[in-house]
Amino acid sequence: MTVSIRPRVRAAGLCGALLALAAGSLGIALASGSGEVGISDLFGLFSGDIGDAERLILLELRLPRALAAFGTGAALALAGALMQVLLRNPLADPYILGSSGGAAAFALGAMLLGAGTAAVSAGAFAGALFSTVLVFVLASGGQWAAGRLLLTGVVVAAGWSALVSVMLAISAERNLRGALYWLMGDFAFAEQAGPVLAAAAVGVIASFLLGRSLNVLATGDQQAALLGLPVRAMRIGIYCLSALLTALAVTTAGTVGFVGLVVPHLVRLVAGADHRVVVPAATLAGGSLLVLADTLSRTLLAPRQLPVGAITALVGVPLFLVLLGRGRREAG
Amino acid sequence: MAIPLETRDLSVRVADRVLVSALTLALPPGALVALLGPNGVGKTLTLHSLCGLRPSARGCVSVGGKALLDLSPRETAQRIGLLLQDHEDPFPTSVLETALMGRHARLGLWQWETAEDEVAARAALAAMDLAGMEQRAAATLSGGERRRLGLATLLVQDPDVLLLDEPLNHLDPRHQFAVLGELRRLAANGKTIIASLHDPVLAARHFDHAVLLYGDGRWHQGPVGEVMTHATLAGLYAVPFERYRCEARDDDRVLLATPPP
Repeated sequence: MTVSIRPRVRAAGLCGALLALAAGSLGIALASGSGEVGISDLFGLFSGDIGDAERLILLELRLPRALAAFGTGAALALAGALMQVLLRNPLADPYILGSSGGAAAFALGAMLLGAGTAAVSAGAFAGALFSTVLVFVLASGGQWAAGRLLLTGVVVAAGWSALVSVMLAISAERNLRGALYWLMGDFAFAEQAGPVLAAAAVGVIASFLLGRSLNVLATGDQQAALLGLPVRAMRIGIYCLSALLTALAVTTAGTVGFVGLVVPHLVRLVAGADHRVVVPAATLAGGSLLVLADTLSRTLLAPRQLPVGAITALVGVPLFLVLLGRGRREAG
Repeated sequence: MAIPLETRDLSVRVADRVLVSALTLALPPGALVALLGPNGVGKTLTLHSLCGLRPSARGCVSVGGKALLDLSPRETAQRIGLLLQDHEDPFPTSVLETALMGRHARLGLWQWETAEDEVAARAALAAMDLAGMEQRAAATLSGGERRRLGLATLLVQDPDVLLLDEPLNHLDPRHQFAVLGELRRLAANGKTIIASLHDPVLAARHFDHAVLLYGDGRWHQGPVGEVMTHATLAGLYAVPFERYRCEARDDDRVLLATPPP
């Protein structure tokens, strides 16, 4: 009888390739942009042959922004993969718990009250967490089943969306640009990459180690319990982790769509359903995709900046459709 | 030696209805028990109660001498398993990966499946006539094939007590007999087995004991020959039953439902 313990080899191979992609995308992000600072300065950074201005642009302007994009993409893709397991629904994304709506509503509220940038960021974070806690409390009244959680999340998100519309209608024109930032996603104001990067790193390690349990949970709550999984504890853990990841992502860059929904599916189409492969691969792919998308968004029509969420969708949709077609041919 | 499966005063309730009242069983190793009753009498809920899926029942059920209340999910899964009626495959998990999930309760939290686990999974798939389908996505299997994959996963889990909720659903006659043969083999190896069924002929011929559920709290249990008479079956299913003799097998246990007059 032939024995093939392939998942480990596949996980290592795919993650190695994606690590190279991540490094490449960060290199491209650092080397692209306005002015004369480019690839030669990037090499100069390592050899020491670089001027102070160029060093400043690379390390103080482009690097923090690229790292913020990477951390946000990684956190969103990881949270999306986790939410899809939690809800066993392929249409689940990190914002299904209403966190983006909560963040936008609270951030806009803070802006309307004339708060400063730091207070608006704090408001966004508080709003994202408040919305997830709200959905949790409302949905846990019954069996805390996947369907109830999903519906509660959708309804709460619709409520936030209505509140945001009202606030946009009554807010002064000068606030609209800032409001769009929360609604469409933008790294132009991303100040701190640290928290979201750290959360994504801790989250991906924890989720990878619990990968087999994620596989079991995906077979349904009853089947998972029968196979020996402490289902309730696991579900609450996943819920809290994806809520924190999403809140930090939204606070860093506003609502960047598409990454959390599609990157996990993209990875599953390539690598199968084992979450010990899907989790690290989706995290790396999500980070890389968002770094590349943000680089495009600030260079494509420079000096004008495009909303990064639109770029992720424009790049990701055709890619996803190609992979979907390929998967169908193989299955058929 | 501890009794593999024991219940004391186990009642199964839905809302304010009592489906099964004070069920008391003590099943030895090797018991092969058919759970019979018409639709909606609580066969599935009884099986769920026996393996701890219904928290309220955990105090009334002991597995291997320990109350379910005192066992962790992991310890419970090592001692008792259940084949559910339905299966969910939301992601493109392969047949082999699905069968390997049976090992979850035997592996450390962070441990990967070993080569031995894969050998066990492939053997269980072969026993359920799924050899050669290891790399197919579980979601692409036919109803009967998916059923046999569920059985293979339970075989890989290898608990002392196996509960099966309509294991023969969707199976063609050849595979029904293969599964019944596998259950007989497991019982001969000391496993304790309860399976809900809808075919009294198969129950009478392939099982040793029967538990009859009436849906109003009443239940009967005992050896198949004593409990499954045409009178009790007629009372259970509310249709006439007649006893036939199978000359070819010199077997007079064939009880067939006949259309009501």
